[in-house]
Amino acid sequence: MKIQDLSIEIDNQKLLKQFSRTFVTGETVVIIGPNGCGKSTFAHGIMGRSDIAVEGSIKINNQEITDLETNERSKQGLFVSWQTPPELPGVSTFGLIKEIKEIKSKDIGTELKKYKSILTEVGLPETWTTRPVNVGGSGGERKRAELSNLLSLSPTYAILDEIDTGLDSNGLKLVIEIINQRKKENLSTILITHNISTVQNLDYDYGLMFNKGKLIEIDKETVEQKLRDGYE
Amino acid sequence: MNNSCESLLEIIKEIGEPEWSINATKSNINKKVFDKLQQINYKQEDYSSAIFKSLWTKEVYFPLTNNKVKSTIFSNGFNDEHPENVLFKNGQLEGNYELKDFGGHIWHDTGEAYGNVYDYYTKVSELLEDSTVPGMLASLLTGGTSVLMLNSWNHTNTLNIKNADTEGDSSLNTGCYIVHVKDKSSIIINEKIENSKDLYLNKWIYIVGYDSHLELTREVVGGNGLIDDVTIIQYPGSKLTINTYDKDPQWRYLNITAYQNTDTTINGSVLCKNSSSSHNVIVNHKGNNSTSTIKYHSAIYNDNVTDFIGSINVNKKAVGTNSSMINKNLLMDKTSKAKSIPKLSINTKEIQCTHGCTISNVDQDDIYYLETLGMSKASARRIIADGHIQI
Repeated sequence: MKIQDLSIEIDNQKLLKQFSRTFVTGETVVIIGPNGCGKSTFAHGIMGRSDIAVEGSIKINNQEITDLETNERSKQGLFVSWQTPPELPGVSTFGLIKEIKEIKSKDIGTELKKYKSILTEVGLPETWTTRPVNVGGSGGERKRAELSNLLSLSPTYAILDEIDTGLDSNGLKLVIEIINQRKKENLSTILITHNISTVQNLDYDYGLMFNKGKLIEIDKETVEQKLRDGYE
Repeated sequence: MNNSCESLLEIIKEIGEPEWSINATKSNINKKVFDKLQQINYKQEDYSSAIFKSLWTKEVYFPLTNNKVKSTIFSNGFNDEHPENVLFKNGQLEGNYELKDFGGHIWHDTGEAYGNVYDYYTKVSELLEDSTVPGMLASLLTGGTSVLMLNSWNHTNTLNIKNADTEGDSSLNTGCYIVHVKDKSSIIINEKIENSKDLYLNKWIYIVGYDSHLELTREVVGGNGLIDDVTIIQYPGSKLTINTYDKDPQWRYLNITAYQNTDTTINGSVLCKNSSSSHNVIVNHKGNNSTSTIKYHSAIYNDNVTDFIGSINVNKKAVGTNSSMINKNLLMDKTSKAKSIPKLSINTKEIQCTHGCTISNVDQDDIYYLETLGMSKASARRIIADGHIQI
């Protein structure tokens, strides 16, 4: 994914100016920065949220995606996990997967089995399939559900927005394992985090830090130092 | 044979009833029908008038299949021009059947075959007194009321009733139907009403007998014009569950009268995409210790408007009533509208009644969330609307 001269603005506030970088397949990058600096806006700006103004170029496999609708960006292999995914009452979790993946009736049995094994992998019960999307789930369960979406959709580029927040120690370990494992399978991950123990156990390539409207590259030592000591 | 029976037989002849039906009526008129009618009509004065208002047509018993009825009935209303559609021989239904026309008769699931006619003309006016204007029109315009008498005891039957007349040039399709769930019966009815005509006008009357249970699932799909008028009478101790799935239903009227120790649950799902709709739901609590739960969820698209008028009326005798009514409307775009008018009329003490209504816009974050997972905006809106009305 090649980003060139990317500027991002929301509510007349410019959060990122002239950012350029190429994210290589199989690369894991950690993004850090203080609250409100624009990390989530960056993620959703790339995904195409309509209230975020974006200038510049974003290319996936040499195809410009800034003109594409959000769902078309998803079909190009882009995935973003939500910090607080919304509840969708009346929409069953597997029903949603069935719609998204356009599963045919004859394949439902096989796909349901696959989906249940994904749920098991992320530590959710099989009964989750029939539950309304995110309704009544705890913070940690919702994060696990976001992980299940990641595994189910198998994207090429994943932006995980604080997916390690609200998880118990087992969940945190699971997130790290999944990112590390998928890295070997060429998933490119951008992880937005505030959690020092995550980065200490994560197999990542480098860090990016938000600083006065810029995203600057930092080494692993600086990542840990900022997460430990703060940004002042 | 008494005088009234003779006059009934005369009516049969006047309206051109076939020979076998007249003979069946003669052979059974003194044996069963009047016993049953007296049991129904005079068991308790309060309820008899309602029954009288309902049963004003001729009656023909026939064997569906005992206890486990799984027939599909296509009802287009009474149609004298195509008697071949009703496969009778000597008053009995024979072989594999597909009823395309059962208007003007009363159908039983008892395995018995006998017929009778009573009050066909005189009771019409009584029926209409309580009816809405569209209900009156339906009763007047239909060729003959169709009646289903469900007698199964302690069995659960499923009847699929489908109205989908796709033939003919008529721009009007009317029907008047009565369904009587007999005492202590447990019946499941699945109805699908599809309107393929310019105007579809229905009048339905359900009678839920003593200690019986009716689970009614209705799917109403509107066409150019659909008017559906439903009256339900719940005898003491009965339980009624209605699940409705309506697409562009246009005009719906549901009036329930519930007597003592009854339980009423209404789950309404309304999707207005191609037309506006109006729902008028009335629950009359007339006996003590009855409960009702009314829930209507609507999703409205385009320039359409949904009206919901929900009324809970508690009679002075209905001490111990426990009733709740919820109406939630989801506006799918900026031009759709919803009106919600809950009404409570309480005429006694020691009761519990609540109501609540919401009208909200679809959350753009919800749509965006689904888009991030790969769904188009249109699909996202559809799945959110479907989810909302199914809650």
